[in-house]
Amino acid sequence: MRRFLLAWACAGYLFLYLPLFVLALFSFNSSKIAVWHGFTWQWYMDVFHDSALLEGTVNSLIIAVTATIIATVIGTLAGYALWKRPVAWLTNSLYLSLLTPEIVMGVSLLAFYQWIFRFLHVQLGMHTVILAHISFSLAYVVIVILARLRTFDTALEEAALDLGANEWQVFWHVTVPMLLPGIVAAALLCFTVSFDDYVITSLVAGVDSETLPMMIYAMARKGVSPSVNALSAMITVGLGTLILLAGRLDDRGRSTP
Amino acid sequence: MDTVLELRALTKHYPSQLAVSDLSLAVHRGEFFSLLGPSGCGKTTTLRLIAGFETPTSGEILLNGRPVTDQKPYHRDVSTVFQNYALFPHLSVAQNVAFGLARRRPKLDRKAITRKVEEALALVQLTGKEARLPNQISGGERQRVALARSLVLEPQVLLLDEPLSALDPKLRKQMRGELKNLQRRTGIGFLFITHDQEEALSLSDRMAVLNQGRLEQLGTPRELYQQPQTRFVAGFLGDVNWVNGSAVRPEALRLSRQRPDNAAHSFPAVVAASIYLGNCVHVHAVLEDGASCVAELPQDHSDFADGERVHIWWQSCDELPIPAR
Amino acid sequence: MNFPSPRGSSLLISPLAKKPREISARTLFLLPGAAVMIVLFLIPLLIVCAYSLLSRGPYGGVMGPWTLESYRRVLDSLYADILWRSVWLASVSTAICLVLGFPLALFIARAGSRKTMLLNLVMLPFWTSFLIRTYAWMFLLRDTGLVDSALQSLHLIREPLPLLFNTGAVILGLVYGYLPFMILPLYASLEKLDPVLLDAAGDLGATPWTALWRVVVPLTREGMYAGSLLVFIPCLGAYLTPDLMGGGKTVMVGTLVQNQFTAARDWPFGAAISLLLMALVLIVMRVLARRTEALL
Repeated sequence: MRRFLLAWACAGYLFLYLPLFVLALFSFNSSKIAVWHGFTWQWYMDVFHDSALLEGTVNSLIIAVTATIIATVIGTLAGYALWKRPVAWLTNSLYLSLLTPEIVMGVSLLAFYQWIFRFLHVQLGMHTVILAHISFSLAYVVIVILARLRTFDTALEEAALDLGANEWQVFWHVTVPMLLPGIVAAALLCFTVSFDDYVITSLVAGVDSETLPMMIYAMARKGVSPSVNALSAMITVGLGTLILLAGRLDDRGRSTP
Repeated sequence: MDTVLELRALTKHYPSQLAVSDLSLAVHRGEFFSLLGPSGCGKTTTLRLIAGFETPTSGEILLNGRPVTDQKPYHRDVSTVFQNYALFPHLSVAQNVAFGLARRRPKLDRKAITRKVEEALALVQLTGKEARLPNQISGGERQRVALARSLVLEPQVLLLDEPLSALDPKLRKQMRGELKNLQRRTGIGFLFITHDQEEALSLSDRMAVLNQGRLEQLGTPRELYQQPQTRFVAGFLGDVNWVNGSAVRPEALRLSRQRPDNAAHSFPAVVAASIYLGNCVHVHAVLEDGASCVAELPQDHSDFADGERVHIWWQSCDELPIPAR
Repeated sequence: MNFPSPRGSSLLISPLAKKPREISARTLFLLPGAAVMIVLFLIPLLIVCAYSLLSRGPYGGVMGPWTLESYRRVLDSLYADILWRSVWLASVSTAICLVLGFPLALFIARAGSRKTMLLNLVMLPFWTSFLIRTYAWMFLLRDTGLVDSALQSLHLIREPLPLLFNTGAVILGLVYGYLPFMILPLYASLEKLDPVLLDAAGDLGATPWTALWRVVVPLTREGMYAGSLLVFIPCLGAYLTPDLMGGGKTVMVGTLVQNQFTAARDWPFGAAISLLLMALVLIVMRVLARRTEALL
């Protein structure tokens, strides 16, 4: 049976990685069609010279960074409080937000914004996207933080209290430093989820806040474009690196003496 | 005698159980006081109540005569040494020891803190390890860091939650002596929680035995061992033989082949087994009514064969004053 | 003062004792998170509920009167078909993920020291861009894509095979997208399995395959339920995959909803469908989550 499992596993990993490798490979193809012609950096250069793409990238970065920072802070505080004593409706809402289909979250936020805009004179734009991203990534942060806190030794907090620190000081001087790898891992997770989002973003973005996924989607619908291949390869490598980093940090934070 | 810590009718209810019930005792200044009992007897809960991590259902805790029952842990002048030491893994040994000092208000200047840390580390013989992290030192060393961290704050009372249980047996015996020394040198009252009666007996000036949340008996080790007031205390601190309604410890039980003339009580019995333990022999014998007992005899006075008929006897003064059932 | 007074239960590590003047730190910590959930998640859902009962506005949006018209239309055979098809596609994809993922999870669980690395390798693609991963398959499968071009240049076929823009492609996309979500809980379940049980089975005369069916599979039931939960629900509400891989020809609930809120401008109708989708999600959650308590 071992050989069967090995063969199956090889096929499985191949299945998972082949499309990405092929895409990366053909991003260097000097021909626009899917037949290998020669090696070129052309498409990568095109990406860097495409001002629209660059603007989309900048938008995506701004949104992702802002949403990440805010969601990580809020999520860490909430996760800590929930660890001390669970609040059923909040925990359930967070889990529900994870399982709610993106399309439903997207249209509900769109409906919400349109309703609110009757009272405030605002439009869809970067801020609406950022708020939407905070909403759907909060649950990710809380889950990561809660998972880390479950392995946390409560005696450490008690010792700090015993030695004269009040609850705030305990949180800042003992809990947060120990939680830091988990917090950073949660932030990196948040960033990748936010950077890649298409469905929700496309529904609540304004005219001037097109993001990179939205542009890639448009290009993908039109047809195969080699610059999309190049862009995809770069994004995959970038996000992949971030995730590996997040994994390393999470592991390191896990070891307790 | 000067009372530093007093518990009055301390009671703690949990939804599922009564952890501590109507506990009253006083710890004197500068004494080594032990709370002894089996797991679940409420000793750890009592410690947590004194430290401030739990609030009692009723009753009072007084420190130097002033009630602290409502105070948060960081306002109470007691310090806790935790069972697994709870050293902050991200701080060095010196930083761990300095932690409580840094929280003091008004703020101490850095020189004063460094000096106190050095003194505390010297007290526990850890000079030179200031920069190490907790995961870079041994278990015994970690315990000493925990002690230094608490002692440097010069609390009124030091609470120790089974501090020796995480150490291996040899280290445990060694640390016992060091702990006693430490207490004598600092003059700080130690409230020592343990389930090991040998530890409690050997270290304490006075001790209390707890059972199911209640105080069974309080006194000096000698008083508790030689004059237990309840069956539980007698049985917990050592072995007890019940012979004809009297309670006698194995080491007080004598065996002889001839019927002794000067003994008030003696009973015929048959030797069932002799178990050699190196420094002594435990001889198991069965009495006429079928009850069995164990005598602890020095190894040169114990050549009884299985099945041999003997007489069991003891001195009246060796009888334990606990009531028969 | 010498009177004993009843007090609350433990503070600090349990709920902070509430004193009238003291706003507990806990409340401050929870407030932002609770606000985000209420304002940016729960209230929007409530608004969708409300919209589903209103009528369509002239330029999109909604207006009165209140009506159940939208729900009536949803149960119309055409749209009910779409709902059932989505359930069907999600089920098929989940089943395929289960079959494909189980041996892989088993392999990883038995890999000894390399377990974590292998597991991370499985999860890694998932955490890069879902959009890009879908696009990668489009690159492979379209008529001018790699597969067809390669097959044509080898003269194995003359006309390009229609590998994309059909139901099969959608299923492929869904399986590819969510396979890691099946593998993870399966692995967790398999890892907990005590290898001694397999030794015992062998000792009692079972072949490795018998042991697999009779011992391993039943004991990993929880993992299978969890994995099914984590795959079925996203598949049910999928939008990108049917849209890109199906070319918009395979209409699933997700694409239907999106369409109503954009091109078709029938918000009440879209809202009604969304709520039915949520209802389906909650039902599945109830059914499957109960069987996976311990694992999750």
